[in-house]
Amino acid sequence: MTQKTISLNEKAYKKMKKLKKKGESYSDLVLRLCDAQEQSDEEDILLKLIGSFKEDADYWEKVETQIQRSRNAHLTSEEGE
Amino acid sequence: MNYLLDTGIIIGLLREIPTIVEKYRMLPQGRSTAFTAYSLTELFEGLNKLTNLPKRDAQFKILNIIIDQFEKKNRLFALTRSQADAYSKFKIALERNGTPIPVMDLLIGTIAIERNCILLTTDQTHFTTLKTIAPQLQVEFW
Repeated sequence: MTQKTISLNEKAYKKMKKLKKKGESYSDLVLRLCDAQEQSDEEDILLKLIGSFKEDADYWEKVETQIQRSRNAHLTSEEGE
Repeated sequence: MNYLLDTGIIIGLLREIPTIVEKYRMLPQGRSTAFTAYSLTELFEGLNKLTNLPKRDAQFKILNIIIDQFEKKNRLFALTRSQADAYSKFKIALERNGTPIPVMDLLIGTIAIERNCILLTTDQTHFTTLKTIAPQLQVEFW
């Protein structure tokens, strides 16, 4: 398999060394971390559901305004004892 | 890196506001995101005011999918006992400063501080005020 050389700074190298398992190559480690990241992205349900309320974007814009109004109407009190 | 999403960010993603979507996609890899039960009350209120019932039901399902996922990962937060104590101390400090902020913002801000999360919000004014008495608050204004 073709090999590629990349350079790491000392901090990145130390972090990788710490994460590397016994018998694992640095290539294996990078692949393991990338797979974990891909899995983590897949599990970010908000990424998957971006735009789900787009059809009612105007309605939800009004909701946001109402939320802001409601928050502003319920302030912590101005003076202590 | 842990991020706490304010209600406006969640709505912005669901509405597909380009600036919010772009920034969300740019969050660092390996991040963890969460939101609060207080944001949930605002989202449910928005849903329950929808008069088109089929739409409301469809959006309820979407919101429940999101909630299930965040609950499964223990990423749906409410105040714990010690955080409630911290909330009260921040509230007193704001009162003594004569700078009240919305109760909801203080609840969400306290959770961000106490859980060491970076708060992502569209509301600059009040969280800037909170930061004056709690400089440890990490916040990004989107």
